[in-house]
Amino acid sequence: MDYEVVIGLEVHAELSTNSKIFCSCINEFGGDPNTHCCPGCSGMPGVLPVMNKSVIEYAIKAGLAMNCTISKFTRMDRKNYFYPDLPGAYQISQHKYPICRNGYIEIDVNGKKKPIRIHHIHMEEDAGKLIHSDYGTGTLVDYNRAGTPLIEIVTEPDMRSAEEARAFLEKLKAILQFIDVSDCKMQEGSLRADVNLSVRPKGQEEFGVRTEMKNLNSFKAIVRAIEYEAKRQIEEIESGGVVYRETRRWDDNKGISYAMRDKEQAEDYRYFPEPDLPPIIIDSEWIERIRSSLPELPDARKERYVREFSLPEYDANILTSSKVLSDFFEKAVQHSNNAKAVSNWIMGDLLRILKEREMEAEEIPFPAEHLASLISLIDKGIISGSIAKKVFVKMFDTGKDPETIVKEEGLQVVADENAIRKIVLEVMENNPGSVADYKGGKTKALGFLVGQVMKATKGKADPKLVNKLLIEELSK
Amino acid sequence: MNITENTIELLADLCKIYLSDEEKKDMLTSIQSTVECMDKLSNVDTSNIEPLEHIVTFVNVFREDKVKESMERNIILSNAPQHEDGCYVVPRVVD
Amino acid sequence: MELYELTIKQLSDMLKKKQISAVEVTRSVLDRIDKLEPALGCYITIVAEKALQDAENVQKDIDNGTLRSPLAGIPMAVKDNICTEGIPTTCASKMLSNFKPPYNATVIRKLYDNGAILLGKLNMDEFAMGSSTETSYFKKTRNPWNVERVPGGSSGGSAAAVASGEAIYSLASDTGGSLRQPASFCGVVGLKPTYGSVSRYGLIACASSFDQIGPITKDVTDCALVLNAITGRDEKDSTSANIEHPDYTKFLINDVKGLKIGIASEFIGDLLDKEVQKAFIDAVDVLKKLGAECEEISLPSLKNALPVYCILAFAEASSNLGRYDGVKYGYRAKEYKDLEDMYRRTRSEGFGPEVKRRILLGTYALSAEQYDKYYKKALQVRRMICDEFNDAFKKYDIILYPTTPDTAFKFGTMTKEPMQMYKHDILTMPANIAGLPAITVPCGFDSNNLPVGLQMLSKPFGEGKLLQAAYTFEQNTEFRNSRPCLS
Repeated sequence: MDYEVVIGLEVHAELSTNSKIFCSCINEFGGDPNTHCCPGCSGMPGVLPVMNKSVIEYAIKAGLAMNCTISKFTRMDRKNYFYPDLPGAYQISQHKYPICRNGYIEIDVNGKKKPIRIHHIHMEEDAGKLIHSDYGTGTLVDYNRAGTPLIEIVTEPDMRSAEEARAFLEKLKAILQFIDVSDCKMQEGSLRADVNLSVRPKGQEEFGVRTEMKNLNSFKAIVRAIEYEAKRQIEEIESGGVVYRETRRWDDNKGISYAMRDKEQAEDYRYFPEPDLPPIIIDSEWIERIRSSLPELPDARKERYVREFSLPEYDANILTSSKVLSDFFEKAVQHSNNAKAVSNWIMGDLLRILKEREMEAEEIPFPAEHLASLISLIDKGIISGSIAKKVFVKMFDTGKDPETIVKEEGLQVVADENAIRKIVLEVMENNPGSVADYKGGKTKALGFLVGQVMKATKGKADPKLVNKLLIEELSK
Repeated sequence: MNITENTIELLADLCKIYLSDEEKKDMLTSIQSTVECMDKLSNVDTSNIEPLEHIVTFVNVFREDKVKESMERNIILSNAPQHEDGCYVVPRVVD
Repeated sequence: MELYELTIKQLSDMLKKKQISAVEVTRSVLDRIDKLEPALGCYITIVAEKALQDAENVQKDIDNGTLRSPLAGIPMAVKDNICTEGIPTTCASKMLSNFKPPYNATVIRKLYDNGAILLGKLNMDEFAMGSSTETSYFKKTRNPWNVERVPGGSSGGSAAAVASGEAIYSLASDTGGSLRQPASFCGVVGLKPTYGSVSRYGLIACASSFDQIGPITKDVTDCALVLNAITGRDEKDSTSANIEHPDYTKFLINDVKGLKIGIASEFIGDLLDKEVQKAFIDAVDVLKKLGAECEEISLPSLKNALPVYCILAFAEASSNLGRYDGVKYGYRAKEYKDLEDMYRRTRSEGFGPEVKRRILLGTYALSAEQYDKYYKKALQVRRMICDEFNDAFKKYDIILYPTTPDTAFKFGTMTKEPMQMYKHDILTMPANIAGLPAITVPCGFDSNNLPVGLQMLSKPFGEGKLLQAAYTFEQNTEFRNSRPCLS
């Protein structure tokens, strides 16, 4: 039988406000344990929460960027449970009146566009961190992260494959970065996703029983976990078994997921309105003020790239998939009159090197202006394309600007006719067979001879000049 | 719903407390009589009445997004029953 | 007269005239504590040395003119659920028996700014859950009028200390009557301000939407003086109201002519002890003679106050008390085999039975299956009660009924049957449910010479009217001059 996979996501994004959500401690990743804490975020009795206004504005921004309706009335609720990373034994979250509802994000998989609906976005506080030390019998608790503002983005079960889920997450990440509400660093946990997944026979309307997977720390893990879980559920059903509604934990090292203890499912969170915080009324004036401050979003930028720079949609899509990359492109284009070349360099060598070196776009060691200079060196004929590729690698290695690299390493094109003619003659002398082939009518041999001259000049010779001189000499 | 000893046990689980058999018996009687009193609200006609979810009448109390210095760690931890390497210590947690 | 017998107003005038010093007043009260504490047990912690040191410093500031507050140099004490930096704040619980907050409650900071001298921390029911101070982990507090009787609760220590001269005034918290009931039992004045008048920052939460801090004083004048110092918007408490509080002493006017008073018929009659009933009727007569317009009104929703209170206050408390888990502060069980066991042993050993009972009940009311039946329903009825009060206050300035159905009871009578104890607070709960200000003033004695309290409620932020009515009543009766006979 053919099965269809049904996926919904719950994504937590840490907001990059200056201070925490309910106290004035710094909102910053890392730090020595328990040094970003006060009586409030460490759960001492008698201390009360005070809402950070920026958190609301960031959440509204996110909602608008994802085409949501912003609630006129919203408020915080308490979610009660015991865990050592939760200092107050309740998380201040939103249950009944989330700040944003009914939005969507459009994804693009293999050229096919599809809207993924967003059920709601709500605000809440993050918990602290448990450190499982290798020695001793205990677990260490650090509340630096406790009280970090989060938004949770909950989708409808609209995705049908790991690729779609990945495309959604990439788009979501790009949007959150473009509007500057979250840095979305998965490795630091500032973007985390839980996957709700079920399978059903193709054509069946009702959903199958879903499981929820946690502990997914990278896009790659999410894709693997989805593929694993879909397969597991299908095999379970095929072999006459049952899929249970449960929470499963993904083990990325082993590449498997396993059910978490039953207890967690039995949990009753006893939500009720947070009595320490008055409700929040968001009037249309406030919404419009935020709307007008929104920067250009990835989709708009993509369309502009196609329109303004005549880039292929595919390229524009990739360039706008990351705020850093897109900003890098824009900056380079400002300093260059060859947008197409800028795009090609980013799409080609730059992304390849990032991938090889397992680097993020944030880590590009040189400013975008340097890429513009490199392109201008090629366009002016000062270096050849193949030399440029080497210079580009050097730029990555050293962070130096291309002019300096070319100068220091003497890489500028050799356009001295006499010097090149001397090398041309040497190459002809060393390759009599090819010379004979050419003279015998095999014009292809010319390419080989050009290559040999380029090799002998370490690529520095002006290829047009080499061509011209070779033909001259061969015709003698 | 009838409050039974089983209800009390489930509640105790949720609240993370143990109850001795004697406590359970005591609790059962007193909780039953209190719940009986709570049940009286069922007779009140509350149709078309919005729950009063916030006792204050004002809204939108916010703080500007400004950082203030955190408290010194040794003061934060000074009341902790057990701490080590600048952290609170709890019995080993297995996920 | 001894200094400890005097009021804030009297002492403050003497301090201004340099007839006495802050150190002398503090000594006088500390001596009184030394003498009576073994019999009464008002305090959990006494900070005598700090008090004397502070008195010395405050006296300097009075002398050099930098401190002009009427509270400057006056020794006082606070209920032990109000956080005091570096001084144990226990909530009368084993759970917090070793807890020293690294911060001051806003009310404490304000009182210090006014030059108040803190003597120590007062006994109470554990986590403010009780009506007799008997659920305290540490000790019994006895009623100064009759040591065989309870002082009321949960703020028994706060009321008994003021009544006995172990403090010139005190602060207490009121969740369902925790301030007014003991003030009534001990024959002193107690005011629960409007919800949002006084910052709750640093008050260890019992039921967040009910809790409010207020003064217990020897008379209405002192009540206004303390209220002036502690009210006001606090950026650390989002539920504190952003309003301009008047100078409350401006309302100390001996006049109730034309004042419209509604007497809640639901709360008189059979519900009351006969002698309380009589004292109340006499009090109404006094007010009538002074020109107040008194008439009976019906507030039918008030009969639902008790279940509404039990559901909402216990639910909030069950959530607020989750944080006592042996991780960050306070008690942790000595032995445990894993995290779950540590949580459960800590909470089972650290909390007393009344606290456990309310946590269980509150958890029950909030559980997903029961939420609509209890919690949501109670919120609807809470609105009905509020609406009924609002309507009543369109017509009346003050609503009047006794503070308690009877006078101070004997030890052990209420602890056996908790429902009886909850019922006992029936007259004080409505003000918390609706967030209204309410004051209790002494209005007589029963045949056992135990005080009876008269309770007045007003509309939100109507503290001024309350003070005026209470002041007038006080100035035209003799009850404030009676003090318990303590050798």
